[in-house]
Amino acid sequence: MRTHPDPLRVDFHLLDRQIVDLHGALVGKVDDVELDLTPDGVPHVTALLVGQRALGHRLGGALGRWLTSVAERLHGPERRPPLRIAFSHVARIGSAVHLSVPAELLDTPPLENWLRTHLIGRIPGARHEGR
Amino acid sequence: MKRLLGVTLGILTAIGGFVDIGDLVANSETGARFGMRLAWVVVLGVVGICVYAEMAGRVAAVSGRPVFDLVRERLGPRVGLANLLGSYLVTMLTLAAEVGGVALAVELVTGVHYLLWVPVAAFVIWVVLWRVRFETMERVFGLAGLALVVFVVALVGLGPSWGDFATQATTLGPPGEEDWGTYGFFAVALFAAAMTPYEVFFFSSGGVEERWTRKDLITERVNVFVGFPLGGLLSLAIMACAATVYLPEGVRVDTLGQVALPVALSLGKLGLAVVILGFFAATFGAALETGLSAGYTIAQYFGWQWGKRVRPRQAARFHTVVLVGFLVAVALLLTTVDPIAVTEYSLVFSALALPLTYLPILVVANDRDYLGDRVNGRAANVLGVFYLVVILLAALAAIPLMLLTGMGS
Amino acid sequence: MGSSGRWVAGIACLALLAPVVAGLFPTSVDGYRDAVVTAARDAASATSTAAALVASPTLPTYTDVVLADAREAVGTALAEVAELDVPDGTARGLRDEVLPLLTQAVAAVGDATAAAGGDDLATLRDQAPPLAQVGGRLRGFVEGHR
Repeated sequence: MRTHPDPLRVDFHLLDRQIVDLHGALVGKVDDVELDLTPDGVPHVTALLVGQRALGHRLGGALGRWLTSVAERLHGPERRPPLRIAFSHVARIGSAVHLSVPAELLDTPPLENWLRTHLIGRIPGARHEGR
Repeated sequence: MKRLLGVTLGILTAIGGFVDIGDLVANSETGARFGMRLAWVVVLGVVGICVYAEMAGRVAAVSGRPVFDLVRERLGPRVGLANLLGSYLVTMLTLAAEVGGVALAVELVTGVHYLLWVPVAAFVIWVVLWRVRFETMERVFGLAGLALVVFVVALVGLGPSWGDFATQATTLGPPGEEDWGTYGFFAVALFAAAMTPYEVFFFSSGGVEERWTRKDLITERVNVFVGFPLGGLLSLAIMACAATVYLPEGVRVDTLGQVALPVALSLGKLGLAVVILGFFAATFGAALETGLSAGYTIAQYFGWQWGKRVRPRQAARFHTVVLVGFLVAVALLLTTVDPIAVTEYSLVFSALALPLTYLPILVVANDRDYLGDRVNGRAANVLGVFYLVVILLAALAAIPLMLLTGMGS
Repeated sequence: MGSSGRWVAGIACLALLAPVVAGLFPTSVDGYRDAVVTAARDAASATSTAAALVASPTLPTYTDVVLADAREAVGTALAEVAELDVPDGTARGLRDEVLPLLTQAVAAVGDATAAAGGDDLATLRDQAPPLAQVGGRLRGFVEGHR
């Protein structure tokens, strides 16, 4: 079975698709991709970039700057680069981009972390099994 | 046998869940002013929601992708973001309207002013959303919403002139006291009430939450094609009740109490108790759906973990958006704005947001990458394109008609 | 925000502001007539609803709530007419015609509310004819001046 569409079109098959981890948890969107050239000059995808900041950079313009600044404000003082997922972790590209690794191995987005510890995690029942 | 039970339950849930505050208000107002002259819009809207809910459900079942995933993928991040803002605002307005509806229904039973109930209602709805299993939640409120069938019984009890209904339903255009402007305005409102965007957000996300697969496609279709039309029948009964009681007297409907009055006149105290229970269940259920939908749209645009399947802790951003949604809805209602007016505005702006919701569904429903052999057939596409045109016309007409008629007054 | 988003936001703001702005200029005769007719129609709807309500047995709290809504509606209608500037003689005629009707509506709904406070169903039912009568006359006014 083919795991990647051939030819792989970055704009059509990758950008803005949902990224799903090994167990089906939702990781984020393919907000941007990192490209590189092989020695013989053929471009190939090296990594998927995830997060509002990556999206803001890709969009550019006033809208992009606004998204980026909101993201930076939400992410707090540490200016970390956007979440980067090496393309070698991609197992299969279908209606979503499926990874071969669990989400726990990737960085949890700062906003999610903050809300988890300071807001949602403090409400009784937040740890109950999913329903 | 078990499967049959499941299908029956699904249908009953779809019927009870079809009607929300928008349907209650729009159908009753329209019946009082136009009799059954706009009944065709309800039929048009119900067929439309069937066509698109089936597509959205099919995409969800086969590809596991809910509607707002598609919106961003197919319209791109920019248009997708504009769409997100629009859909989110409309969903928030609808959420406020539904919470207001719950509070108004409780006011009818307790006699205590609805504004006191607004925070209580919002809190209880949120707790249910936080703690109750998805399926249980849908079932309980869908089935309790079936209490609205009392409108059908009440209609028969009122002994209306069915011949008049038939004449009205087959006449195109407004009655003597109204003009084409208000006729058009209420047509748009009714259409938007039947095709409210949150319904497909919720329906498709619910399909993903309940882990539909190809095997569930038949159940999904039966739910849609049987449940929604029967729900539409309830809408028509509400309209006909208002037409019977209010049209001859020239009375306009602008409170929830008036929506219930035909039932009280026909069936007395018991009927009244049942109809108020129906109001409560319908608006409560719809508040759950819109509250979740607000979270679905934003989380699905950004790719965040969403849904009730995972521990709330694992979907902290999603649950924060939902929580904030309820706070905003309460804040809006506590400005003492009339919940019925909020409902009317939510319908107009829904009409405006319709095209951007339904276009991506139609596009993806034709994409073999997603659906394989389950792509749209010719009938689904012909209907889909037809409805896209209707939706576009409704969206273009919504604001001019609203300004021209001053919200139809 | 994309340009389409900007448009949508702009239109939304206009739509929300339009009724407010329109409400600031009702001083021509036609504007006055429209405002008076609208007030009369709202009052007619409220009184006719109340008439139908008190004529049949319902839950007491429900009756109270619907009557309270009706009372608010007729009160608002009366206040709106009272607050309007009267531009000329024609408008004055309209005002003199509608004000007594609105006052009667306020009184009739008020009496019904008082009757609903007691336990006697028959007294409450007796409020139906006067309510229906005022409702009918208000409706007559609306139809005569539309």
